[in-house]
Amino acid sequence: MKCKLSMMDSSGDKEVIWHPDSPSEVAAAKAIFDAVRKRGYLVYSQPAGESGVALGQFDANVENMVAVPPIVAG
Amino acid sequence: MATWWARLFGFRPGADAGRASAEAFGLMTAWEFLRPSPNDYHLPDQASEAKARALLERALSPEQRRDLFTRRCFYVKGKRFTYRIREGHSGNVDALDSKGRVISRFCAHPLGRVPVYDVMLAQKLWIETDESMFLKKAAPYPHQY
Repeated sequence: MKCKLSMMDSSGDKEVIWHPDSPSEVAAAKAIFDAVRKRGYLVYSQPAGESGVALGQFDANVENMVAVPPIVAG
Repeated sequence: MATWWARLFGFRPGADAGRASAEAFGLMTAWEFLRPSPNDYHLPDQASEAKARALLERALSPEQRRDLFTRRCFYVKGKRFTYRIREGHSGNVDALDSKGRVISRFCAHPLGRVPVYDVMLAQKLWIETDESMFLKKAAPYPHQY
């Protein structure tokens, strides 16, 4: 199984891909997840064709994550 | 014998070395990942829009995808309202009543210069996961625009 975190930016999105059974890849993905959250991004699990679920903590087994920049109004 | 800084920070070679190097690797990866891309200072180009569109389409149900193709909008069911997310960066979210009439129009988007389809995906995720936060943060937008 392959998991992916897509972080929205002006290029569309940046992606990091990891295999949940590889500790080094999981550690790198977790570091990115934490850094992204620290910047105020909201991270969601987004299964294909379904509703999203907000993620408070990194879960190495979530197949598809999307990191969204902080919300602004107007 | 441990060096003075190793003793000061309680660093034990062997047991902690692997963990420390993994953490350093993780931090370097995060730093590299979060470095602004060269086009962060320009408006998203066609390639960025296409990439964002692919990300959005993967997230949509077949019905939502069909609406996006045919009407350039899709519908999201919240707990309070059904929302219509139209193609656009601002003022593109309509709250609808049970007959499909527009009750309110909202403006809320992600910070930064992200492509229009990323804006639409962000709005979908906000409504699905925390509708009350969306309604609290989004600015009301005049109907006639």
